[in-house]
Amino acid sequence: MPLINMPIETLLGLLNREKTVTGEADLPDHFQSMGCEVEETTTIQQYLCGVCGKVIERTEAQGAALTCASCGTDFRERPESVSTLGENHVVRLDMLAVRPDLFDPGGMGRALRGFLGVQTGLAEYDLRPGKLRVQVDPALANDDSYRPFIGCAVLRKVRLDHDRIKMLMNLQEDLHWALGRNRKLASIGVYDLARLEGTNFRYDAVARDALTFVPLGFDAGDSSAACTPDEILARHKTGQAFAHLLEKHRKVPLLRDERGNVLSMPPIINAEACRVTHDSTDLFCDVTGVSQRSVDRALNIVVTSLRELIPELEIETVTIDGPDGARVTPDLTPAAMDLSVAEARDTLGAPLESGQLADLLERMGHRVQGRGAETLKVEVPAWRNDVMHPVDLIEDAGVAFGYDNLVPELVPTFTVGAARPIEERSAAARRVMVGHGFHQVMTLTLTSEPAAFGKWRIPADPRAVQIENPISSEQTMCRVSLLPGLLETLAINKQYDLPQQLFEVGDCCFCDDSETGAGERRFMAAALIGSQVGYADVRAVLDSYIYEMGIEATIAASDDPRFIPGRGAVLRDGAGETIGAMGEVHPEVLEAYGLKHPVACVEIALQ
Amino acid sequence: MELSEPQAAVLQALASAGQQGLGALANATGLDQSPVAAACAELQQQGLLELDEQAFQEITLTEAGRAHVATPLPERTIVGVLQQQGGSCRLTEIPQHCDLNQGQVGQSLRWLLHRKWARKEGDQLVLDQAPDATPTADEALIQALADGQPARSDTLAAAGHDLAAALEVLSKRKGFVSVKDRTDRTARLTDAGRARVAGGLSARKRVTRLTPEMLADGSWRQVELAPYDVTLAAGDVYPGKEHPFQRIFDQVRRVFLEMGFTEIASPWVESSFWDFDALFQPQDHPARDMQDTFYIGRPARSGLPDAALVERVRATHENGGGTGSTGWRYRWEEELAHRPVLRTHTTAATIRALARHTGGTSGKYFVTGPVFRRETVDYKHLPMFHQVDGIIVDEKASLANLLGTLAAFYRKMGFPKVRFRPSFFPYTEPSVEVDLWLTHRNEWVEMGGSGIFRPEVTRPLGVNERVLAWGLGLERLAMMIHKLKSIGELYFATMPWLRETPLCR
Repeated sequence: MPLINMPIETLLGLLNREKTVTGEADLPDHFQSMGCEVEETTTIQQYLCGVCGKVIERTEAQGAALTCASCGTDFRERPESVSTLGENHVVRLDMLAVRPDLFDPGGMGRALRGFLGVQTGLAEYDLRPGKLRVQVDPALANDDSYRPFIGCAVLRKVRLDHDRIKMLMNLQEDLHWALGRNRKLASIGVYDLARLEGTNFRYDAVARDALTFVPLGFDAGDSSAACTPDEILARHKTGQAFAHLLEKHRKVPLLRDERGNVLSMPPIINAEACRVTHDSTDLFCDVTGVSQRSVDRALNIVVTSLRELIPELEIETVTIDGPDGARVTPDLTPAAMDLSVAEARDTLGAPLESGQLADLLERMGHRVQGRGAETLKVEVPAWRNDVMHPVDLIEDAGVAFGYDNLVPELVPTFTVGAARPIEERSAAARRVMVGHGFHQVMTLTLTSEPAAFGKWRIPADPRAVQIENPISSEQTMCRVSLLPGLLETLAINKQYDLPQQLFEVGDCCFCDDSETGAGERRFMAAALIGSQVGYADVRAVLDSYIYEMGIEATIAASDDPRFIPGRGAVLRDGAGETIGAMGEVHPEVLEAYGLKHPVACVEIALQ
Repeated sequence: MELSEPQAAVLQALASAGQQGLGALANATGLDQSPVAAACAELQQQGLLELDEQAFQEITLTEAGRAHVATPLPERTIVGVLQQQGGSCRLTEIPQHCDLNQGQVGQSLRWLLHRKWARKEGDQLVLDQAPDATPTADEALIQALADGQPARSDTLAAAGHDLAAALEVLSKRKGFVSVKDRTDRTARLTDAGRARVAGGLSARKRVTRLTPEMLADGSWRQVELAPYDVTLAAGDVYPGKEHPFQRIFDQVRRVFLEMGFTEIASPWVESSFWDFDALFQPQDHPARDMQDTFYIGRPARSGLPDAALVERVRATHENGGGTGSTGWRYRWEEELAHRPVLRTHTTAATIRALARHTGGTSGKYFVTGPVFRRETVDYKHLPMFHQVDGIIVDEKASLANLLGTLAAFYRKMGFPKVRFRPSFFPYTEPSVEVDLWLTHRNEWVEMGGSGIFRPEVTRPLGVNERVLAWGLGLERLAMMIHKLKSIGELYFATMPWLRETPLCR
């Protein structure tokens, strides 16, 4: 899971704004009790790429930046293009995909202030009505250009330095990952409002060669820099990386200002012309996507987190004119939810009263009404993406209460346990084989056609389960026999004393007509290797095994190619069904495994 | 004390022949050397005889040496060449005048210089103190040992051989002689011994093995069973054994069974429906990516359970259905639920058990088994590993019960110190991360996830009770318990590890 770097100084600044409530030493414990996993506390170096202007963060362990992750400049070849911005002391946290509102110091500060009781209840933000409107093309709801949802905001009085730009970029990237599913569900764009003209913007689906614009990172002075959407997807690094998102689109989404200047081609790239710089004071922000929920949450997180970081920031709304009428974004109206106090009490197993529960929820940033009643009216912040059900509020209350304060006790209800019969039978099979002096092995359940069939001189089994997206050529299917694993183990142990006697009791998997289309069968397989080993050795073990296990098996000669001709047998049950095979392994198979001594083996279904 | 048969024979032989070597005693008694030696040692302990030990060397001419019984040593040949060539010769030309090759000439230089028979001047070999025909000490010894039989150093010295000088040369020449240190033991009766002989000897036969015949005819009463040195180790043997990992499975299963859980299972090949959808994992969740999950090419499509259940799961994803949830608010595609995968967790089994569970009753279920993730192989990852999952269905169950059950479970697993932290898992709410204190590592180790299943998971399955759930990876536990460096050691086991890992730690 990706890690986020939480800058300690910024965070403490936000927490201790009015008075000192906590220090660096306590932060990891606070994070832990809030459910955030602390990886480490460390110092990161910040580097500025002179070519694209991006800030690169590196931990001490990672060492100096060698290349720019954004534009690919190799700093080893061009050392003059990188400069050091300074150090930042950070706590590295494992990202919680479900809590994107905690990814940045603004949002984390807000949550910690509540948790520590500094400022509880629902955080409120002033939204000023703005003049900007965005007209949404109904064609964006069509399958050939589907990206119908958009939310926008104007942010004024922004003062940006390297730190804040980096934080904004990190937040944007992290939200793309967690909320946007790599820009698929939602993607965020931020622009310098001063470079945009008019108040009536358009969000349209346009043909892939309808127009050209200079994408972010291309030099506006270069005559070949202006590209059609198709050219951007083919030529631009970011275009190539995300082209798959528009693969099935005949038309691509495009955001333009009143004069027709391109802001961006979501979810791929912004235009170079309206790039955010240190001098930008007013920003326009958009989130587009295929999920209304993700679009709204992402926008709400970006604007409220920035507002937390920059107290003088002003948020202005934007009116979205969609096919279903106009709506105003950002919409920070909290979601209303009823919570039964009894349900919370029973779920947590803690004797909570209505008022106590309300206090706990307010520490988690909710507004609570109906204090004292058996049902609390809870208003959930519009930037929380994980509260879908009252049970999520119960968890919030549990976290605020502290898991350490719960009294662990067992469930009072008595139950009788029962093992699966096949496991008991497997244990009996293992006892028989251990009694014969065999050693149990456990081998991999995934294998490949060459290992399962080719080495054994047999055609591929059409009942084998095949993996569609294997990760290596050695694991492309589920095993259909335990014997290959046994011989592989013998091959690993060539240098040790002979004779060796191994067995495995395990499942093999076959396609069948069950609900899922495949199922397991359990087998016992055994192999012996040694200079004097022959058919009689394995036959003797098998006879004893079927006697002990109560199996009625008949043994008949077979022409199984895995065995030496005339030294292989097929095992059948009382109904004449094949339940196994036994024999002296064919020398060609032994050669395939690099074995230098004869091997005799048996495999038999457990049931 | 009664004498054994060999002891009596030795005393008798010494009484008639006086002092004797052990070899001679063996001849005189008709016994092998080793029982004679043992009898002498025992008699010496009893003060009946004394043993004189005399060290000597046993010298044998070996193959390379035997070659020079008839042929002179190469340095002697080279001296001949030098004399013939007027006192000196180019080193490289020597082989032209004799049977030696350049290599043999080279090897002989050391001895020519050592004996001061010749010296090197540039590329010339020049006669120095040329020897006469009298054999050197080593040459004489070669002749004395010509028959290839071992000879005693004391005998040879008595015959006038200068062994020190001879062996100085011969023992440094590869394969010429073998020299072994030996001890000659001579036995002599003490006064007590002589008194014992005079008193008359009666003996019991000493035997090593107690035979069935002796038991049958009672003759064991007439023999003495030879004592052994019971402190000596015998050969290494190993019992057949279950795999060390199997023992951890057994322990986990035993703990669950003791706690009243019913064991369940589910197939390796699972539909996306049971592996993901029924767990309220949205269809665009990263865990469902081709990147992380093995999808199945054959069989190409899995079936789904009854339509009403599928419909409830669809509604829950889309708008919460009747679960009281908002749902994920997207369009749920049934076809994606048909896609078979290799199950990514054993939770698939507990979910199936919940669907079978009779509403309104309590139940406890557990499962152990392999799960599959699309992981690149390294020291702690394989594309397959094992999990154990347990659930408790109970209308009275609470988070406090979950913590209590987990503490009991891990205590039974051998980890008395447990810590609980809030966490976030997609299908539990509240969620708890369990840390165990490892005394030998002096640190907390993250061991497994747990929580209460979300209503979005349980309600569509017809379960209105709360369901406590937890799971852990077994390989991780095995690596900690058996102190393994790599997960591969479990699956690519070596015989020494299988044979020597003790059953009890």
